[in-house]
Amino acid sequence: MQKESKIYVELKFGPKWTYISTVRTFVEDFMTITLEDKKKATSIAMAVNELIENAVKFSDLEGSELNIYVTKERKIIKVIVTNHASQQDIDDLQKCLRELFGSPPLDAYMKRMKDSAVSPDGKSTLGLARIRYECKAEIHTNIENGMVSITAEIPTEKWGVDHE
Amino acid sequence: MNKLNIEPLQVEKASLVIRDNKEGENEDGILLIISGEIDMRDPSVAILPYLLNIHDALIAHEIKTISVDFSNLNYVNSSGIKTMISWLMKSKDVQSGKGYKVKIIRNGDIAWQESTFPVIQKLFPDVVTFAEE
Repeated sequence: MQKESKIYVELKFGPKWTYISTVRTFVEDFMTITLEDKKKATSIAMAVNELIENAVKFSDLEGSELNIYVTKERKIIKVIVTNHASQQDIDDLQKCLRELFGSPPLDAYMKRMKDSAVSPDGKSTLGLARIRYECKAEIHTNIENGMVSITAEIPTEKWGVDHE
Repeated sequence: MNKLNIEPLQVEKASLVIRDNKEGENEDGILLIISGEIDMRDPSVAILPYLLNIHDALIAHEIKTISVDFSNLNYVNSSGIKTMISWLMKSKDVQSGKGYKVKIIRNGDIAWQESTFPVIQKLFPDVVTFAEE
């Protein structure tokens, strides 16, 4: 299904924090060439950074995967990050996601900002709330046999800050 | 050295420097310049203690405004945002009359600054203002 996109990146890496900024820089360069828009490229790289930070934090095995697909006419960027996680982390993630999707993007983002500041465990899903609001992304999750896939579908035209 | 006697902090790719702010309306103020990239795993360990040290010094010196220059901060991850929020919550918690305002100097050419700062300002409307761009 994904191969219908002729512009894509598929990358597999060990869950090491030191690789994250390298991947972000690569994605930013790749997207700058693809979209010919440095700011949009930087925002997509930010989304990728947040997703792979989560993968590195919560992966309990080697081999996190990053897939980026650009749809026809470059209108949607689909970022998929997959990693293996413990059942406890999956349960925590599902609880956080239910809360996240229970509110409009800006409300959820502001609530996550406040909650994260007093949360010691770093499992606030602030990164997902950020992608959802700042990149206007639709977030989907697929959890199967301990593998967690988080997909962010980012429209390249609906950009900027809502003045709600 | 600045009037708060706080040394600069260099942590991974991020740099934080305090200077006395001599410009315009903020003659008694302080300027914090944050530049580079905040993408470390836990800025609440690496950076938050430094910001809270500044907070304590601002209160002790009864300084009413701190300008924070982010114009060369190219990236901040969500853990970095969490750290900024922790600091701003602290300033908001100060008893009325004893607190200080945070004036953000931002760079509209940097994507995250355009999308993140308006949300932070909305969260702390009584504390955060923007410098004219």
